[in-house]
Amino acid sequence: MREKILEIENLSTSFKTERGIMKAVDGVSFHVEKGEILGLVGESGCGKSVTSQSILRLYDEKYTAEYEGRILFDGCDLLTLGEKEMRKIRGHEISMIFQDALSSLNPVFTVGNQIMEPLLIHQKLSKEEARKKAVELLTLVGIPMPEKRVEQYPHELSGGMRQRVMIAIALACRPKLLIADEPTTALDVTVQAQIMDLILSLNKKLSMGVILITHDLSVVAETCSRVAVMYLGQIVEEGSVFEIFDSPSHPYTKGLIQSIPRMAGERARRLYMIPGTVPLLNQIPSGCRFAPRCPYVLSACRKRTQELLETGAGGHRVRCMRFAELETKEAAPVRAAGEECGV
Amino acid sequence: MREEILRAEHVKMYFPIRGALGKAVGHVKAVDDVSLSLYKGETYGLVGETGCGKSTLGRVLIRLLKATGGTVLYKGEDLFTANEKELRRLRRELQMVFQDPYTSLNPRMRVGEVLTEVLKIQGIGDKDSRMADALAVFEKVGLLPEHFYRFPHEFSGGQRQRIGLARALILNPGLIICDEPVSALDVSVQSQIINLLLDMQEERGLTYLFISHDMSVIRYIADRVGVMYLGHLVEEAPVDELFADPAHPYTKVLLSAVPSDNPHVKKERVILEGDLPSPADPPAGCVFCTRCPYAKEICREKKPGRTDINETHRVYCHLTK
Repeated sequence: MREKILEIENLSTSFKTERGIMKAVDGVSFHVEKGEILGLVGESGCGKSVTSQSILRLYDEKYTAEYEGRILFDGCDLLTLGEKEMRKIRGHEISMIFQDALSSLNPVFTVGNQIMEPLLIHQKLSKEEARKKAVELLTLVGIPMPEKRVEQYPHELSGGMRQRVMIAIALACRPKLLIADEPTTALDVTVQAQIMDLILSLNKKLSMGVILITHDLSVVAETCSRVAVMYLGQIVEEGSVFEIFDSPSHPYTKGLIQSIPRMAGERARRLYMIPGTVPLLNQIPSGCRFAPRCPYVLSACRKRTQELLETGAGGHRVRCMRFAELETKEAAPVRAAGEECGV
Repeated sequence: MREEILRAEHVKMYFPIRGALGKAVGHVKAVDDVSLSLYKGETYGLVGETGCGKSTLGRVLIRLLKATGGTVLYKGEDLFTANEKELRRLRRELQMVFQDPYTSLNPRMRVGEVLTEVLKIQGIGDKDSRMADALAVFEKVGLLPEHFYRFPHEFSGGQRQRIGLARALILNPGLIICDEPVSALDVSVQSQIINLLLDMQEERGLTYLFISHDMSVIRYIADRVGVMYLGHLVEEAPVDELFADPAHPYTKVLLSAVPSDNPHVKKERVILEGDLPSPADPPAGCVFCTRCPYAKEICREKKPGRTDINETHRVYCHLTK
């Protein structure tokens, strides 16, 4: 087993809102090993982004957000650090790439300036050194004519180029952990292939840990070694990419994987669908949170809260009381797929 | 032979680039010399990357934009020479579902009104019958009657897309242009909307032009597929043939870029160099020659003509024999 660089224990993030306290992340635990890519998947609104932004404590703690649990990074609990020490971690030891590169880059500074910023702050380089490093970084992420590009503004670059600049900024200080929040969602497939290739090769070259957040399961199948599936602020299944894709145990994971339109094999006349939508955070169902949408639901599911259980060796975990049953035989779905329920 | 309901011939859509004093200093060739036919009851998938002109073509085909050149015939009637009155009648037949369910609905209108307004403009029925029609479509697309008086912001993305579809269906159209209708949705909701589109097609014999950049969705929903690059249609074929045996280098690149949903399969990938050239200044010769891994001398000099591989499969490339 490789060295763990990040270990999250029982993390909860809640927000104070006008409609009461919303717990967006509820008791999440997982770890990231050195040099591995962990995929975090789930539908919109299931807490993937909040989890990742909580790692860097990006929410306003004074008025709205409250964290609980422990986030151990290199053996040190990030939730106990002061703001000043936290700032030394952000963009230095842990960096983040956001989905929308255009709105994440500052439109009034050149890309060179923005790549140099973390170098000037964290590594205390001189301006000339930082500039030289910025050109090197642009070359590393595969931008042609880097000397010319450092002088350009974000609006002068294409979507794929901007995402590469974001990656260059994130990698400037050689972080130990990179959090990529939907890095290719806004991009075309050909550009997506370029960017994922880049992230993979940099992950190997720099042996940094990566958390890849995405709702595109094919991207996960291709790049990640382990996967955690989230639903309504909790992890419902975690395992190696093969366990998750070959024999998903949780009904939610099964549903997600069956909903993908396949690129190979027979085309069915209808796609599988998970009925209904993710409920709002102030309408969390009692018992198993997936029960209202689950095709295998029993009345006991609605009564008892489910724990995330180890299913055997290799760290495969599932939050479902019927998983053993569902694995051994094809348990009869209680309702037909597609039947609407409480939309 | 199936019934042809729409035929587009040599359609061009150039947008002027205006310099100082509003004088045109050049043109963005968003769609350049595209010809295609749509048959009754089929789904035609139009794929390509951002900026290749697929949405513009969709808009031109139902005359939301008036083309710079070429003709579009809907059941034999020319859309570009039709007058106001004829157009209004034709619009009943030609509807559109937009990509972004958040911005394509008026935030100040109750969704019931969104639907009845369509009938009102077309002068169909009286107040009560319009209400009844709207409610009927509303239930067809899987929404509840109590949603009728709500505002768009009260719905989720998937539900809004259902409203967008209801708005297109209420006039009983012959052709619906679906412009990336599922791109903004999660996979689970995406499959709900795709299944709904298929149900409606089966029930009403609708024809869809389905615009998407997602090859796996296209493979699932389309009968025939057209691939666009920089304003040009570069290949057209029945869906299974295109996926099994693509002829144009660009189609091959697009297919190889799609991530595999099986973690055991490592795909051989053709990674494209560089970015899409500007449609205001397209390369001479074949539009794909600047990024094509197989480009030869002739590709940079001469525009490729049409090669028919068989009756239903055509490609525009110098290198296909």
